[in-house]
Amino acid sequence: MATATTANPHLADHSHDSDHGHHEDPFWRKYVFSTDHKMIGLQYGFTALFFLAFGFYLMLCMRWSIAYPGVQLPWYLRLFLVDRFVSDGVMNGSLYNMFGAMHGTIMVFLGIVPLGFAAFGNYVTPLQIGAIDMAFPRLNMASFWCFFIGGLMMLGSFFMPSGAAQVGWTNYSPLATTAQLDYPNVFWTGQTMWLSAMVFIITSSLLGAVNFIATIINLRAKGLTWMRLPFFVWAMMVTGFLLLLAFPPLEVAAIMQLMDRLAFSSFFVPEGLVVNGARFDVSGGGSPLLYQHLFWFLGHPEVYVLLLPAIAIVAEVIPANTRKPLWGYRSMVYGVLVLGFLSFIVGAHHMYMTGMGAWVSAFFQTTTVLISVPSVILLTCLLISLWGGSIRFTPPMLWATAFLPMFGIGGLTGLPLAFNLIDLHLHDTYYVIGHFHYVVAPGVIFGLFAGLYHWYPNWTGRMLNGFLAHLHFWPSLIAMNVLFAPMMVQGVAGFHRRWYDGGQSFPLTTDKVLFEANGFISNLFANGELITIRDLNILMTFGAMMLAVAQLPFIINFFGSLVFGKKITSDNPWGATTLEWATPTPPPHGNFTFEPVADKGPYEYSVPGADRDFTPQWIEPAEEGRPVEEPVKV
Amino acid sequence: MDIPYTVTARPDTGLWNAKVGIWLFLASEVMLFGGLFSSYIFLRLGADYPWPMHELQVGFGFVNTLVLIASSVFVVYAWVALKMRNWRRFQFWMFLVIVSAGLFLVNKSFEYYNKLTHYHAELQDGTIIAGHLPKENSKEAKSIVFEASHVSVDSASGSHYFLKYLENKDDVRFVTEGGIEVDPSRKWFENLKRGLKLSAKADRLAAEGDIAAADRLSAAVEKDYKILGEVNGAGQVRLTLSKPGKFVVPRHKTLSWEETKMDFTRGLATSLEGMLVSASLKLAVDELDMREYLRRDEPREKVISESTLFGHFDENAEGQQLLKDFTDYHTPLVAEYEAAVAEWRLENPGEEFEEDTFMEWERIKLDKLHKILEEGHAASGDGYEQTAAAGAGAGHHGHPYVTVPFEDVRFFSNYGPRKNPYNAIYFTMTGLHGLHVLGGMFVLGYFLVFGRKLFLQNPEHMANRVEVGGLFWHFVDLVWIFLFPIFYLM
Amino acid sequence: MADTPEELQKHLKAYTIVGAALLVFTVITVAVTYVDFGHTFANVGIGLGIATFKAGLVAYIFMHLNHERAMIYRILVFTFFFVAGMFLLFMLAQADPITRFR
Ligand code: HEM
Ligand SMILES: [Cu+2]
Repeated sequence: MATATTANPHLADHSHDSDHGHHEDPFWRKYVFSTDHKMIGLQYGFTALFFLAFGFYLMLCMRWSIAYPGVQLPWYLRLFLVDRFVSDGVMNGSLYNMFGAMHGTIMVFLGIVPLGFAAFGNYVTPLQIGAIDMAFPRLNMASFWCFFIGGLMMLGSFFMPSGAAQVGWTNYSPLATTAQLDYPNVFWTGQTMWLSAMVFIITSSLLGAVNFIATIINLRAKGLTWMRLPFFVWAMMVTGFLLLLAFPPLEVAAIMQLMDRLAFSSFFVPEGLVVNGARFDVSGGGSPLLYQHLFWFLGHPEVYVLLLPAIAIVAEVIPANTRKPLWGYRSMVYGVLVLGFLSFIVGAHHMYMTGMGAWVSAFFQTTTVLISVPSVILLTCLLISLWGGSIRFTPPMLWATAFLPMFGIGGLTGLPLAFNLIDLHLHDTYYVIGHFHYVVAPGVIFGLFAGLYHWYPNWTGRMLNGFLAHLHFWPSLIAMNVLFAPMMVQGVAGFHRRWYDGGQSFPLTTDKVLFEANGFISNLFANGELITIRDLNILMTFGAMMLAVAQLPFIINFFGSLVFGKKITSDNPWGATTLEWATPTPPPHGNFTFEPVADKGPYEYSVPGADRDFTPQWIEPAEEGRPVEEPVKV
Repeated sequence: MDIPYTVTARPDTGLWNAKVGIWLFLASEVMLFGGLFSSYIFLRLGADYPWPMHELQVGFGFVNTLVLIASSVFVVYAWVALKMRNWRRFQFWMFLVIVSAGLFLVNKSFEYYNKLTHYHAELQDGTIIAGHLPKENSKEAKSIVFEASHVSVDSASGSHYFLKYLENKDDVRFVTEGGIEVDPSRKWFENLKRGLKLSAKADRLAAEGDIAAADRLSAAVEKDYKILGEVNGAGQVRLTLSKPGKFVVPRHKTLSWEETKMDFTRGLATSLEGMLVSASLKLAVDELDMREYLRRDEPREKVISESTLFGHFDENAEGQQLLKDFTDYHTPLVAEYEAAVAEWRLENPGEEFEEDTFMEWERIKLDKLHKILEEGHAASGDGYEQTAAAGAGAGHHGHPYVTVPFEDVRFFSNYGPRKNPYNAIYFTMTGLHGLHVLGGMFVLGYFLVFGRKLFLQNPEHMANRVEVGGLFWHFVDLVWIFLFPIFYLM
Repeated sequence: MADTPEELQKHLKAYTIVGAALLVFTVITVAVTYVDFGHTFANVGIGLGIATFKAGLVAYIFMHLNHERAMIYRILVFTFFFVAGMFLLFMLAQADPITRFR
C-alpha cells in the first residue's frame, strides 16, 4: 500500500507507514464489540444467515406435516427441538402454529431485514458514499447488540414451558392476548417473550435507521451530490425512513399488548370475551381493530424494507455486468421515493376482511393500486437496463437476472389482492402465501444472493467458485418455482393458509380434482390415479427439500472460498464504477487510502471515447501509483 | 480516525451529525407518541362506557405542567450559558433542570400510588362502587382465603407456584398419602416430571418390543423415583398438610371455589381441600356510580331500592341511611331529566327520542356522591359524618365498609391499567413519558457531572451536546403539553 | 446562527418571554375546561387548540425551528404528514358504520 500521507485527518490509520508503532485492536474490540461498520455488517450478516437457516428448518417441518399429516417427521428434522414438544415426533396443530408463527417472525425480522438492510447496508453504504465509517459508530454497535439480544430472546422462547409464540407473525389480538395465559408465570411464556423481543428488535432498527440516514445526509464524499449517489444508497435511505417512521407504531402495539398480557388492561380486548368457556376477566372496552391498524401501519412499509435492499442490490449488479448505465436512474430514484411515501398509506389493505368499513376499504384499495405504479417503474427500469448490454453471466448476475421475473410474478399476483372483491375470496388462502413468497423468497433472497456473490471479493479478496455457484443457482431456481407456483393454484381453489394437516379435514375443498384419472399427467406421475388439489402438497414439499439440498453447494462455497477461493488481482474485480471498489481489499478500518472525490455519476459504463468500458466515479489521486488492471474474466 | 462533522457543520447541509441524528430520532418519537395519541382517539371515540372526564386530580397535572415548562426554559438558559462559555452558570441552570425533572417524577409517583391503591368493583347488577381496602389484612380483603388440609397437585402439569399463595409456608410440612415427606418446590416438580417421562419411555420401549431395555429402565425408575408410586389414578399426588395451610389467593388465580374445595387455574393445576374462610371483597366505599344500573327500563326509585349493594353494607343501618340519602339526592335529578326529555319531545314532535342526545343526563355525576352527601349533611348539621365514622370503625376517612361476596362482583380492579382502556392508555402514555423524563434526566445529569472535561477541551462540542440533549428535553415537554389536557381536563 | 453574545442575550429574553407565555396559557387551558361550550367536542377543540399553540411555541422558539436548515424541515414535514394520516385513519376507522355494534 502506497503512503499517501495527506493532512486529512479523516483517512484510515493504515495510510500511515505500517512501522509507525501502529497497534492492533484486541480480539474482542475487533470482532465482538467492534465499531467498524464493516465488521458490524458482517456480524449482522452471519447472525441473519443463521436465522434464515433456522426459519427454513421450521418451515421444512411444517411442509412435511402438510404433505404427510400424522406421519413422523424424518430423522433429520427431529435432530433437535421437535422432541421437546412431541414425544412421538409427529407434528400436531399447536406445534405447527408455533413453528409457523416463528417461521414468519424469524424470516422477516431476524433474517431478511438484518441481512438486507443491516448487513449489506452497513457494509456497503459508507463505502459507496466514500465515508470512513457511519456517523455514529458506537450507536451502530449498540443497535447490533440490541438486535442480538432480541434474537436470543426469540430463540430462548422455544425453551420456555409454554414454547414459543403461536399466534402467527402478526400476533393478532385478542388471540395473542389470551394465548398461554394459563401458565403460572405469564412473563415467561413465548407469547410475552415475543413482545419483549420485538421491543428490542424495534429499538435496534430505530437506532440503525437514525444512523443510516444521518450518515447518508452528512458523510457523503466530496463531489458526491444527491444525483450522483448510487441507487443502492438511495434505497437504503428510503428504507431507513420506512423503519424510522413505521416501526414506532408497532412498538406502541407491542407495548400495549404487553400491558394487556401483564397488567390485564383491555386495549385490544372487547367486552364479554369468552376464553376456554369462561368469561375473560378484564374490563373490556378495547378493540382488536386497533391492534391491526397499528400493526399494519408498520406491516406494509415492512415489506418494502424487505424488498428495497434486494432491488437495490440488483440495481448495482446489473450495470456492472451489462457494462451499460442503469436505465432511467432518475425515474428509479423518484420511483423509490414515491414508493416509500405511498407505502405508509396502503397498510389496511390487509384488513379488508375485518369489516373496518367501506370508506376505509375504498381508500386503501385506491392507494394500493396506485403503489403498483412506482414498483412497476423500478422493475421496468431494471428490465430495460438489460437491453442491448453485453451481458456477462457472472454468478451475481445469474441471481440478479432471475430476480426480475420472480419478483415480477410476485408483484403481479399481488395486484388482484388489492381489490376488495377479489380479496374476499383469496384472503388467508395459499394464494396469498404464494404471492408474498414469490416476492420474499425467490425475489428478495435471490437479490441478497446476488449481493453476497457480488461483494464477497471485496470482503475476502477471493472469488467464490463459479461451478459451485451454478450448482447453487439452477436447482434453487427450479426448486423455488416447484415450491411456490402450485400455491397459487391451491389458493384459488380455496385452500386455507393455516391447515396443519394439509387440508385433510376439509375434503370438500381439497379433494377437488386437478387431473382426471388416466389422463396424461396422471399416467405420467401417479400411475394413472386421480390427482387432487391436495396432492400438490407433496410436490411442493419435494420442492422445499430440493431447495434445502441446493443450499449445500453455497455453504461449501462460502466457507471453502475463504481459504481456497481464487485470489483477486485487482481491488475492482468486476470493473465496477462505484466507490466501494476504490478501497484496498479488504477495506481496513477507516476504509480509504486517499480522500475519495467523486466527479461523475455512479454508472458510467462504456462511455464513448473512454479507454476502458467503465469509468469509476472517483478521481484517482495523482500521486497514487495504484495499478490499474483490467478486471478478471469470470 | 475521527468522524467528520461532529463539531462543525457540513457546509452544504449546514448541519453537524448529532443534529441530524437527534431530529431523526425525534421524528421517530413523534411517530411513537403519534401512535399512542391516535390509539387514544380510537379508544375514546369507540368507548362504550362513560369516558372518565375530570377523574384525575387536575392539581397534580397542573403543577407538573408548570414544572416541565420551567425546566424547558432552564435548559435553554443552560445552553446559552455554554455558548457564552460560562461553565458556572451552565451548572446552575442545568442543576435546576435536574431538580425539576426529579420533582416531576416524585409528583407522578404520588399520583400513581393513589391510583394503584384505590379500588373499583362492578357488581352483577351494574352498580359500581369504589373505595379503599382496609388498612389491616388488605390482601385478604381482596382475595379468597382458604384453610387447606390437603393439596392435590397434578403430576404431569402441576407447578410449585401455589406455594406463593401459602401464608404460613415455613410452619407447614407436606406428607404424601404413603407417608413420604416432600418439599413441593420447583426441583421436586421437575424431578417428578422427569420420572414420568422416563417411565413413559420404558412403556414405549416395551411396546416396541425391547423388553430387556424396558425392564432395566423400569427398575431404575422404580429405584430412583419412589415418588411415582404416590401418583393416584387421577394422575395427582395428594399431599396432607401437617397443620392447616392458610392460602390467600387472588380471584383471577382460581378456577372455582366451594365451602370445602378450591381449584387453582389450569396453569397451576393444583386443588385444595379444607375450609373456605372468606371469598368476598371488603371496601371502604367512597364513590358510588349507578349510571349503568339506572338504565333499566323501570321506575328509577324502585330500581334503586332493589339494588343488591345496599344489602351488603356491614353496618346495615348505615346502608339504609345511605340508600335514603341516595334516593333523596337522586329524585330531583330524575325529575329534571324527565322534564328535559319531555321538553325535547315538545320541541321535536314526531321524532324518535335518542338516549344519546341526553347522554349527559344519563351520566348524572354520582361518583362523588358520598362527598356531596357529607357536605350536605355537614351543612344541615345532622351529625351524619360522625355516625358514619363511628359505624365504620377504622374505615378509610370514615367511609362505610361494604363486604360483597365475589359471586356478586362482575369485575374488580384497582384504578390501574386494568380498570378500563382510559386508565390503560393513561398509564401507558404517562409511563412512557415518565421513562423519557428519566432518560433525559440521566443524559443531562451526565453532562452536568462529567461535562467539564469536554468543555475545557472543546467548548463548542459540549454546547452541541447540550443543544441535542435540550432538543430531546423540549420534545418531552411538548408531549406533556398535550398529555395534560387530554387526560386531566377533557 | 446565534453566536454573538448580543444575539444570545436577545435570545435569552425571547426564551423568558416564551416561558412566561407558556405558563399563562397553561392557566388558561385549565380555566377554559370549566366553561361549558355547549358540546364536549367544542371543549376538546378549544383545549387542543391552546395545547397546539403552546407546543408550537416550544418547537418554534425553544427548539429553534424558527431558523433551522432545509433538511430538518423536510424530515419533519414528512413525519407530520404521516402522523396526521395516522390520526385520520384511526378516526375514520371509528367513524365508519360497520364497526359500530352498539
Ligand atoms: C425459502 C423458502 C420458504 C418457504 C418454503 C416458506 C414456506 C412457508 C410456509 C409453508 C408457510 C406457512 C403457511 C401456513 O401457515 O400454513 C409460510 C408462512 C410464512 N412465511 Fe415463509 N417460506 C419461505 C421463506 C420465507 C421468507 C424468506 C420469508 C420472509 C419474509 C417468509 C415469511 C413468511 C411469513 C411472514 C409467513 C406467515 C406466517 C404466519 O402465518 O404467521 N417465508 N412460509
Ligand atoms: Cu401490504
